[in-house]
Amino acid sequence: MEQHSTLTSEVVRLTVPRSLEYVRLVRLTAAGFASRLGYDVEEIDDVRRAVDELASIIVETGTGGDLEVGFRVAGGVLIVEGSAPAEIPPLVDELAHQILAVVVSVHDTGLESDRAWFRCEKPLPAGA
Amino acid sequence: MAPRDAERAALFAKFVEFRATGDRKLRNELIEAHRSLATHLARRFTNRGEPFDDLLQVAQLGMLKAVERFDTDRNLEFSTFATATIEGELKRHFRDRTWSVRVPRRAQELHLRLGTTIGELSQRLGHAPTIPELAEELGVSDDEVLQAMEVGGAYRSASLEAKSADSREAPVLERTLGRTDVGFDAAEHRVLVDELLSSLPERERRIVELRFYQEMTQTEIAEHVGISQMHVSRLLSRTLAELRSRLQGV
Repeated sequence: MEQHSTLTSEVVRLTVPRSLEYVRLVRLTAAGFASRLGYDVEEIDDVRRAVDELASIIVETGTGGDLEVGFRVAGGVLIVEGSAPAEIPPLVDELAHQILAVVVSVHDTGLESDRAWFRCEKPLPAGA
Repeated sequence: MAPRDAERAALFAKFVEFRATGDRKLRNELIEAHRSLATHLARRFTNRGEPFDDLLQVAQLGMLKAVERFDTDRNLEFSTFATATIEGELKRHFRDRTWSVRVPRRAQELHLRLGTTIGELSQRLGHAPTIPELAEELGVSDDEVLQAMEVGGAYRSASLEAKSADSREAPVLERTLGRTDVGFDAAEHRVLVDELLSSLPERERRIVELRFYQEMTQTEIAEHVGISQMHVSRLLSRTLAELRSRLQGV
């Protein structure tokens, strides 16, 4: 999978220190972005949970550097991508897979160019 | 033997048997027999901005741990051991949620109102409300609603963060590498998750299964179980955090 897709102009980028403490900022941004797209409270909860799982996994995959996250819309779906420096691929356990399979339509992680990355997608709400 | 002594002796015998057999029915009986202690301890932590239902939930998980860990060979009353365990869980609950302490009191109060409002609006609108709909109903801004929603969450990052702050273990990278080396494969991990799920209290296990295995929405689960959607959301967060914490302890 391509790590850095072509970003549209409707992208929100967030760079935070690589610390679990800052994942809450990523969650809040995710919730704010999702809210602007018209998701209801349950769907926003889903987006936030997915971003929390994936961002936490990336933060825990290495040390140092920043966590970079981007939010955008393309092809009728919300796309959240994030990455941070790493030497090993992210470890996504079965519990995380199970959670992510339910709360988002697509989720993936990998290691590319010394960066661990994640990506998840969720279809936009009807009428958005 | 006085009736109270006889009762205590019978309970002690159950602990001994549970320790020997691990019988879940016995475990549940022991938890039930001490339910009032969990309730009493949860009440002592009220008026700190957390809903009583949530505190009771934490106390009951503490009781589960106490029952599972109680060593009958030690010369200790179960009530003493359980009180220390449950109080520890309740204190950890507050410590892990420092975010909720840092956010304005207004957001915490708003969070408490959110549950009822989401339920009312869902019924009136026929669907789960959006943030603007909630904001209008509550007479606050969208951002305030979002922040109030955040107050109720117990997320993976928060539990990991608390663990990191607590431990004097190896740096994160080393722990991650260590975990990779252990190399639980997917099937083993699934068995482990299943085992942990089966050790949860009935309602929590049911809610996790309905959401993540039967893919019901939170609103559907709320109707199914007879609690609010917000309560389902909180229970899911808490239970997942508990599962995550136990997985890390394996």
